[in-house]
Amino acid sequence: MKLERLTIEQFRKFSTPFEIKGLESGLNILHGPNGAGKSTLAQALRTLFFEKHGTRGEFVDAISPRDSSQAAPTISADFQLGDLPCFASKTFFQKPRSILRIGSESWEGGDADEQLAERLGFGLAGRGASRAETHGIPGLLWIEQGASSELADPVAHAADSLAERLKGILGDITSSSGGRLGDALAAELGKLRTPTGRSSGVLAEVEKALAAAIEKRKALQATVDDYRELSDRLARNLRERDGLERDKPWQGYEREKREAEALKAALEPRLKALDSSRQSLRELNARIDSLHKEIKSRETELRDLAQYRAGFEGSAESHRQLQESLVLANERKILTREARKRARLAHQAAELHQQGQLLQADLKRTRAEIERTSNTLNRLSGFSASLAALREQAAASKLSRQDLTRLSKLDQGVRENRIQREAIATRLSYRLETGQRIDAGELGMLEGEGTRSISAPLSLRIANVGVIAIAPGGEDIARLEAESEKLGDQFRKACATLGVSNLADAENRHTRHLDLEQQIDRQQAESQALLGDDNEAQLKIRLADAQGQATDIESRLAALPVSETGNSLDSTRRSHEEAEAEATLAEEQHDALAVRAAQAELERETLKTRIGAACERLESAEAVRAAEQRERELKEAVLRRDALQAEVGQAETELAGRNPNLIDADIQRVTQALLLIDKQGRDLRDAINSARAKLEALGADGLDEKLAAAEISVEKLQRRHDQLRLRADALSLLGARLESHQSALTQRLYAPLRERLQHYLAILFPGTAVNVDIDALRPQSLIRNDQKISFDAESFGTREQLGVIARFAYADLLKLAGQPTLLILDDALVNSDAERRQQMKRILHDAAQRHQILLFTCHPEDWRDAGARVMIDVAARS
Amino acid sequence: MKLLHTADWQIGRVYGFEGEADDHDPAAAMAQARYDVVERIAELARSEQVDAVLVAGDVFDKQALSDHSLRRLIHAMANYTGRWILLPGNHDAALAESVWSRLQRLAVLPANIALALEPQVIEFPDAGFAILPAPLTQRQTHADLTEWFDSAETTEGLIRIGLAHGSVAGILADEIDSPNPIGADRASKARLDYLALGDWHGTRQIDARTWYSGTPEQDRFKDNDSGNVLLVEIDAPGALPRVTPIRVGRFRWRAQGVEINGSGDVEQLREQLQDLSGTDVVRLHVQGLVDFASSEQLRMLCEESRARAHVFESDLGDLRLEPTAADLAAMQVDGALAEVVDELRSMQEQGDQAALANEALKLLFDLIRREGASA
Repeated sequence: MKLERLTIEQFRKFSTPFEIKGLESGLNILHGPNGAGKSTLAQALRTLFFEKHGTRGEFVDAISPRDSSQAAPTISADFQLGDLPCFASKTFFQKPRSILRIGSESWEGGDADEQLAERLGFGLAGRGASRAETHGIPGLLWIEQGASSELADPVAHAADSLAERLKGILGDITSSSGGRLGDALAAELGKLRTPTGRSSGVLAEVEKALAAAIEKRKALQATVDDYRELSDRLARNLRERDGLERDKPWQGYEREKREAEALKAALEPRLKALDSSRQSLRELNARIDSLHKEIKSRETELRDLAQYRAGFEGSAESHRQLQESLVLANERKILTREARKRARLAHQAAELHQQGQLLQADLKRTRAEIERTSNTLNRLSGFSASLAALREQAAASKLSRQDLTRLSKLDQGVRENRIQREAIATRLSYRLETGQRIDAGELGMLEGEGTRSISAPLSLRIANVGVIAIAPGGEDIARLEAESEKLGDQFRKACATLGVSNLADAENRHTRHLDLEQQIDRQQAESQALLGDDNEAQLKIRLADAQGQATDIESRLAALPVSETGNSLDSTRRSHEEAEAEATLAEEQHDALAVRAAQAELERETLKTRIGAACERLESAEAVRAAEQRERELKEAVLRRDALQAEVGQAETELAGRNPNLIDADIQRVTQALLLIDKQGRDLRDAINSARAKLEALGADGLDEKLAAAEISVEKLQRRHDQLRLRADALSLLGARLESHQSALTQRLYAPLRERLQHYLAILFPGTAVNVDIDALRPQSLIRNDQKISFDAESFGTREQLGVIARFAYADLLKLAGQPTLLILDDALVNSDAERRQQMKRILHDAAQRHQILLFTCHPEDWRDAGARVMIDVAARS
Repeated sequence: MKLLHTADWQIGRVYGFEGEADDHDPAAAMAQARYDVVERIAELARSEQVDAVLVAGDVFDKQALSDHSLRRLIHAMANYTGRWILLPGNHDAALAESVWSRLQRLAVLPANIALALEPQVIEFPDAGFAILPAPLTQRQTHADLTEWFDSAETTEGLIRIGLAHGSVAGILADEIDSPNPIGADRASKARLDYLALGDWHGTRQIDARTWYSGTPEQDRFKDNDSGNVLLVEIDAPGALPRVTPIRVGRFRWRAQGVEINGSGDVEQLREQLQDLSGTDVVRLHVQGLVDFASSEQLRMLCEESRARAHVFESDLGDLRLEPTAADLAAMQVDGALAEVVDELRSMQEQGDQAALANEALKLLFDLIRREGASA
């Protein structure tokens, strides 16, 4: 197909007629800036072909010029199909019209619409504007602005037309697609299995029911097994019981028991007699023992009595000796007591004498102390008086060094003042005639010769002569005079205070005072030396004590009896002590003897009592008789015992062969056996009854019928399950095989398409082998450098390029099949980088050798070297 | 004297046949038929005025039947008030606790029904015969329980009739139901006038005096002349018995294998199945190769037969569907589909895959016919 001319009138932005002409085979670039109307042109072309001329509704607004609602949009095109010149024209809304001419043929109205669709391979919408789904092959080859990367939908919409028109090249792709059959298979399988292969639906139900049935059968089988086991056991028990009843083993045991019991009954009285004899023997032996003991006891007592008597007699002599010793000891005791008394008195006298001597010595010493203390006190009292006088004097002459210094300073001040005054005073020297006198006022009467300093005005009255006034010069005279007066006053006052007439006097007093104080110190030191550590009061107390003591001693001395003795204290004391020891010893000896004598007396008393009692008990007539009786009894008892012993021995010998214990054991043993047999019988009976009861209960339940029913149920379900599983497996197999074969076949059928795609891909990716995987007429992925890349996973730019390439491939096949091809790229490939664009230019150029391609762009410079034969500036035309 | 010899009633047997619908249960009717045939035997015994009915073991199919089943059997026997002599077999051995002890406990046994639970001679002097029973008291025994017959004394002048359950040694060895052996020459050695045997489900004569009556109501797919009772007439001790099989059974069981290769074979099968009636229990195993047309024909035949017979089971698992080229063309099987069909056909040749491939092919063709081969 080759579009040559397109005319637009009252279509969208073109309210005035607009025409594009001079389009050629191969690449035609229609360019202009945005808004120039490139897309409008593309839309006009679509409208002309896709829309039925009678279409109304919203479509009106979509294609009408903005300023006119009463427009009649008209689009016409001149083109070639094969070698035939064609013309198509459609007017919409106002007097809608459609005209188609192909070669010499022409159609109008709906026929024209249909014929166009038929020729170009698209469908017509039933009502209203066309939809993408109806656009078919042109919808795929005419790429709308920005839609070049979209491939799946356009291919799907064009699939039927493509398959139909490419049948000659690709074969019957649709028949191999499986389509509904595959779906039906999947649906059937879906009733039995989930996509992951798990059982579902009726198969799952049957599986579940089968498992339950098997479980039920198992439970029933277990019960049946129990039943059989129980009935087998019952049979065994019955056999055992029958055996017991047949053999009757208890009969032998009963006979044995009876015999043993008879034997035992025969032995019984003799055994009793023997027992009784044994008892008598035991009693007799006991009596004999007791008699022996009694006789022995009497003998012992008689022996004791004889000893008592001997002892009593033997003690008489020692008793007498003891009494004699006691008398001697008593005498000695008295003697030693007297000697002791004497010695004590002598000792006491010696002690008194010595005491008197000691008191005399004490008195002497005390008196000496009294005298010494009195002397000291007297001397102290002398010191005390002279000290008081000295202190009085010292106090009277007290003048301190400070006072003296102050006075001395004052005196010096007075003297210095005088010197100063004299230094500046007026000297008055005179020599008077003898006898002559001058009243010098304050200076008194001057006579004779002399010199005076005058520091104050002075009037000299010379009798009869008058008065001479002298005024000493300088003002200091007055000040010094005043100061002199002040100092003099102070000095005088100080003297008065101190009670001295002048400084020398003060110094004397001070010297005297010092002297006195030294005396005081000296006396105090002396008195202190006299006192030592004591003070006067203590001395006085001591004196009083000593005086009291002396008085006491004197009275004690007076109280002392006169004791004249020549014996020393030591010897008397030793004598006293010796006498004391002897007396004590004698007393002790006496006391010990007295105790012994008392004890011996007591013993004799005791023995006497015992002897009396024993005599009564042993030697009375009654006692002697009893003893004789016992002797006789003993003899008889021994005789009887010996006889009985022989009797028992004989009986034992006789019974030894027939051990009654063994007979008892036999009876016990056989009785036990009988009990066991009885128990066995009872146990068997119980077991049989119990088993019967259980079996009856189980059997009445129709157990075997239930088991049979359960088995049948399992079989049925198993069959059903096997059928369903086989069906599921078969469906699964079919699905898998069908898919596999379809895909293999389809890949074979797609070979021409693959060849075209790879032709372009080799240009786009120079130097690398590219393999394309195709499904549903559409390239799905490509394998490049051994890497499989899904188309959808590629970058937008690459998808765009692949989208364009795919369309070129379809166009190539369509061309090969003699179908019209026109490719429109509206602003396609805007996302391609310069390098890819370069490859795409080569591809464009290559495709343009076979197809007319209309490329709309706002960047003509990008595509100038794409081999375009025609470049039309849309903006220049509008 | 005259008696009926029967055995292997197998009361309580159940079947696993599937019904065609929820309210159709062929198995229940067949279980019921086992009671019904006892009624007919009672009726026959009454009308023939026999001296006794001998049941040679396996009266019951199982030991633990419900009380209800036991009562039903006694009820079915009620019509004949003469002597019934029932012998325990391997299915209903007289164990310590058995269906027999339960029957006795239920107290439903009328005086005319005798249980031969002990190996002891039972004499019926008034009727002129003595029974020598060999009851099984264990499920299986490897001893010949009839051995004691040889030395058993019976009153002079009484006809000696042996009653036993098991397999005659050397004759049925390969087909025995239980190991319980019976000496082949027992009748002559024990001087029996007649030896009534049970265990073998078909009617079968062993020697002049020894017979298996077979089960009166067939219960398995084994065409060995079952469904009969034996009318036995013995004129005097030592006389040879006259034995007449009389059919009393209702259901005829047939297991049939056919090879179908084309519509001709289907037609032939149709003729064979022409006489099917409501008493037929049929299992048909079909193998061979069929095209679509024959397959459809066969399917129709099976449907018809199923409607006519009491039970009609058809196993077509080994029948291979071989569509003709025309079939395939008609179905528009080409392209990938044709390849799948080829592959499945080759799988049909491989033993372990055959069933799966066959099923897959059938499913595929069903689907294609329903959905069409393509989109």
